[in-house]
Amino acid sequence: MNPSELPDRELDEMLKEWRAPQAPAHLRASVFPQSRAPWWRRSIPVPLPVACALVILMATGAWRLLTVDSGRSELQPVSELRPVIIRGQHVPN
Amino acid sequence: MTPQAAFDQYHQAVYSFAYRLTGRTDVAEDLTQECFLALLRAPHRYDPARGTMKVFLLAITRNLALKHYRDSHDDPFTEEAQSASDPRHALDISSAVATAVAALPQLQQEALVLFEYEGATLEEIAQIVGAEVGTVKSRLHRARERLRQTLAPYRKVGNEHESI
Repeated sequence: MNPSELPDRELDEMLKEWRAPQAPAHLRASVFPQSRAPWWRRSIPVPLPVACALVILMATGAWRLLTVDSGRSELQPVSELRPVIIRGQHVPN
Repeated sequence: MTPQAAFDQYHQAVYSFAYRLTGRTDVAEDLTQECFLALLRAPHRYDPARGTMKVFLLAITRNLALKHYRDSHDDPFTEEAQSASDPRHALDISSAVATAVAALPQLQQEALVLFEYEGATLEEIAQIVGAEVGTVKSRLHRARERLRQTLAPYRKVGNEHESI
């Protein structure tokens, strides 16, 4: 071996000095995205127009429900019952 | 073995291999991700009779690294190799080794990385790179010869490495 060359043992020692960095922790989630959260915490992508339409629909529904409720609340229970008997022409007296 | 179990067991080896081939953490991350996605998409491609899961994954990573450089029209394998192939520019032993390994011809480099850092046997390397065992042995020998010369200026003197 040329004296300007490293012996095997020294070369092996030097090679050990080069260490690779640790793999990033988020790598697993990027490979298995479904496994990163329980099902009740997962989300699905919804297009913005669809989301807006859903919000408008829900707001309209809620408004209608409230107005129907308020219409009902104007009706009051009858305090005195006054029945009126209407006799037809064909009923004999 | 499920893809999840394979990931838990081998993702660091795949990442390290990709990093040592490319010299870049962002590319290593992409290649590791692509490697395991390939396993997820076609787990049936792994045949235990043909080798271990680790060998299978390292072979995928090697092919992905080659594809990456073909697509990016870059020369394999590292930026460091192109900008500072002379390890004497490196500030410490670790950088000097990284630069010297990166400056090796691609086929020698991958053989050396697999043997020295991934603990692969000659037979496994031959399987990963698709070459004969004798060819791998020769590449490994030439890689070490070259490193002996390029890293000689960093020879240890007592407990300290020589500085340039």
